[in-house]
Amino acid sequence: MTKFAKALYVVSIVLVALSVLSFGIYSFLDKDVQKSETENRNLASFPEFSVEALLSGKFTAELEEYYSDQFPFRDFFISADKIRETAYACVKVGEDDLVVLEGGNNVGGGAGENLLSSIVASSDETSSSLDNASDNTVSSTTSVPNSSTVNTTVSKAPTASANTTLKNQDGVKNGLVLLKGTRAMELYGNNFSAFEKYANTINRLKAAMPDKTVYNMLIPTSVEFYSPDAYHVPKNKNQKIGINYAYGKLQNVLAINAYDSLYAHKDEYTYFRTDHHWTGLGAYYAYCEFAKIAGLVPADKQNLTYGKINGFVGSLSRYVGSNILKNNPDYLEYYMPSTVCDATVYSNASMTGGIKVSVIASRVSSSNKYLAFLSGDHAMIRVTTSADTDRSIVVIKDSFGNAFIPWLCNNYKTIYVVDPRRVTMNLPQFVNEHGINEVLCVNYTFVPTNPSYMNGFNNLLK
Amino acid sequence: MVFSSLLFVFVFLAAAISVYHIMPGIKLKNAWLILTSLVFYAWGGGLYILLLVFCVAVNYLCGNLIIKYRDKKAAKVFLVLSVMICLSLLAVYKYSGLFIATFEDLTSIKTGLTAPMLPIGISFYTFQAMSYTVDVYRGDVKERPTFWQFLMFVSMFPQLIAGPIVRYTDIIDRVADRRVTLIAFSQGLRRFLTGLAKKVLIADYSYTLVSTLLGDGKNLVFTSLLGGMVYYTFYIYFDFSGYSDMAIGMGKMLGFDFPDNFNYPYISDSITEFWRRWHMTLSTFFRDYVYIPLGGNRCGKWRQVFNLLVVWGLTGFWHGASWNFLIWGLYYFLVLVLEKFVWGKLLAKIPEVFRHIYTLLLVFFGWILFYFDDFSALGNAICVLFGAAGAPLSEPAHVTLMLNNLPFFVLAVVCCLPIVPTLKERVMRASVKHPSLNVLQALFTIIYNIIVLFACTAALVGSSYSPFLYFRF
Repeated sequence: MTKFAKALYVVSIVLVALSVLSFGIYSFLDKDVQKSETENRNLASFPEFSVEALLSGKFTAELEEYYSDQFPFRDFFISADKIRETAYACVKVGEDDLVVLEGGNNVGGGAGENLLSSIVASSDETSSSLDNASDNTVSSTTSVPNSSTVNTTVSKAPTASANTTLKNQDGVKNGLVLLKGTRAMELYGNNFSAFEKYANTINRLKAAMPDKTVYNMLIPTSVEFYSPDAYHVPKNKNQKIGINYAYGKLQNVLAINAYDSLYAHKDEYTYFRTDHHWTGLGAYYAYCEFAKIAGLVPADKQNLTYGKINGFVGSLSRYVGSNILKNNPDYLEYYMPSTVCDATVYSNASMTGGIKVSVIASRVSSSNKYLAFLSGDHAMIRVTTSADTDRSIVVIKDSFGNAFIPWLCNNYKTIYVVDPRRVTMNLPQFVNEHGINEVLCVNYTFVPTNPSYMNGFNNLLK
Repeated sequence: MVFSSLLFVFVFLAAAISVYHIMPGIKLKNAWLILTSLVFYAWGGGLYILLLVFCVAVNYLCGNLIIKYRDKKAAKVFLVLSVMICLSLLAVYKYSGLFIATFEDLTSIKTGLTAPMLPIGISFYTFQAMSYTVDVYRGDVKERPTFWQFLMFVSMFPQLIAGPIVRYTDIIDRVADRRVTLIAFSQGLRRFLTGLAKKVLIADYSYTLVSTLLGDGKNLVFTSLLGGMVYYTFYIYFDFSGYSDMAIGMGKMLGFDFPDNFNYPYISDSITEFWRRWHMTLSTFFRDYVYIPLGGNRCGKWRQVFNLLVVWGLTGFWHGASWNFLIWGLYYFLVLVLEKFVWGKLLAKIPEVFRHIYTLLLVFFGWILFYFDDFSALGNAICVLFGAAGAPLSEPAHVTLMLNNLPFFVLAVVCCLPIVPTLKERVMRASVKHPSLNVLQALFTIIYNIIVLFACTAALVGSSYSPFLYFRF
């Protein structure tokens, strides 16, 4: 072999050695990054040492995680890797340009997300270790709502290449996301026994409050209306069948059919394309159906002050490797209630030490513009309005309820908004204490299979 | 520690190899290798490193005693003793959980016993240690190692955790004297990077498809089962052979020539050939230490069949503490016997393409037996496979997913083919006449190294912890 060829082999070794050594050394010198914007979570910090942790292997495992999380140019490498993964799966199927993506466990799972700084999720809520996508904001400043910088703590955002643990290790189902053109949708499957348990929980609540009116509204998601037939028509995937099944199990509870109206208006902007939520407009059509059952006159949205927040790239974009959703963002439309509203957020049911929020925020600093509604999920919110009525209602909800509440502000004097993942309370007691006559459980169809929500929901009777 | 982690590549390996080459003299080099290997093993936690050292010490001692009492009856006693101790370690630390569970299932008695955790690499280092004492007994070990040399041999981090199964005789001439030429180091580096790429760029991604398509094994659908098992077929090859490549590559950078472990097994045209290309160090181990001592094929047809039964039963069972692995081994016993005694000649006569299809189908079915370690899940899978479960034919989301991933599928298939060795051979022959080809090859190595290092680093950052499949071994 010629000297030149040999020299080139030296180069091939030296280049690798230099890259590895320089990155290795630099990785010790560079400062730790606290959070990752692309992953929307806090990055691991140096683990606590103890002889116990060392012997059990916990310390070294955390050290590895810490090293990976704090590797230099992390975001750059992640983007590069996403390009590779997108290339692996770049064949789009059919005239709808369908792509199926790994979606992690439960996009809207965990304990919800909010914009507020000093409200911390109550300690007995199930932690983010349950689901992969837990959006829980905690920051150390006590800033005024709507202008705080959000410091979201989300446990590991699932990436397609993550978690290649041994098979059958934790039996956790990988949710799938369907990308059709510029719309992303979480794929859905019916779990009838979960619906039955959900209905039973509401039945038990009603039985403990026999003289109160209890409503239930289950909301379908976008995959029901916008995916090809094969993805939502079969019995095991059809949300109409699931919702009707749950409603069939209710006893003495008023079931609200939001489905048909949402179906009729599906060509309007009723669901986000980049986020798993419905829009304020979708919530409006459900509100009109609720009004029919509750004996209310629904506000006419033509008469309300309209607003729009642009540049909303929602929760589902983190599962899509390409930039298609980022390049085609959503916008959030809102309609200010006709009444004067006074909303206060509390971290407990006794409603001590609250923080004022807007029912709808006209500007949201977070990338999650859906937080405009009620500033997100909180343990307890009390809204008092200038509505000309004595009616009050307590709404037990997940984040889908947030877009719905502002509509109720047109018709109720007092609205209590409860997120069972974050609050501990006895609902029948609470309802009696505060002289409330109406209870609404509003959830989207993925909730009955969300353990963190169902645990909290079942605990409302304790 | 796993090889496919940022900490390993950028900190541990970088430090281990750099300092190794700075160390003056073989004694210091060996000492450093032992030190880094023990740290590597202890990294996983627990006091299992003591178990490793115990196993090493027992086998070393027995080896010495065998030499001392050579040609006397005592030699055999010490041989049997060391083998029994190694097998007992395996029985207790690897298989006791299975034995307890099976006993409880069959007799409905709750013993209240809990099995210990599986120490990493125990299936490999016990076999390596045993091979030494047997080789000593047979007189194949020309020069006895010192205790430290023997410890180094067993505990060397490149091959400690998941092979290849290296025998002392494989490296005996490198123990006290190793030189790493420039070319050898370059080859080792490239081999390591190739192994890392196989694991991180192909195997890990295959596994995500496996887990989506097969889920928890409960609601299997025909096309998803097929697709999931196809990707499992890719996964297990790229994971295992990628790991072996990393081990061999690192060994080469340290001056060792470990035996190859995989030789493009999916291009085989018979199951017999498949097992000459798949996990080669394991099959040669069983051949040399079980099959041949039992008589091999020299004691008549029925004895040969019996010997094969023993070997394949053990091969299967070695793969994991679960009865489906034994069944997987016996499945191959059946096919191999059929190939040897029933249709081998017929097979050679059919066109080559059909031989390849035949082999792939049988291997594919084998992996189904291998994957489902729960009998009811396995039964369900087989029912779905043969259309007996009344399950729907396909799941649209999965079909779309598989179509989306056609580019990846093509990449995986291409990487199963021996394109690189074929090219290398041609280039080598041609470079006699055209020395400039050497320059081209070197240039290619530069570009390859940088691209692979970059892509693998990106993938490692993009993922988190990625343990290998056979940590259960």
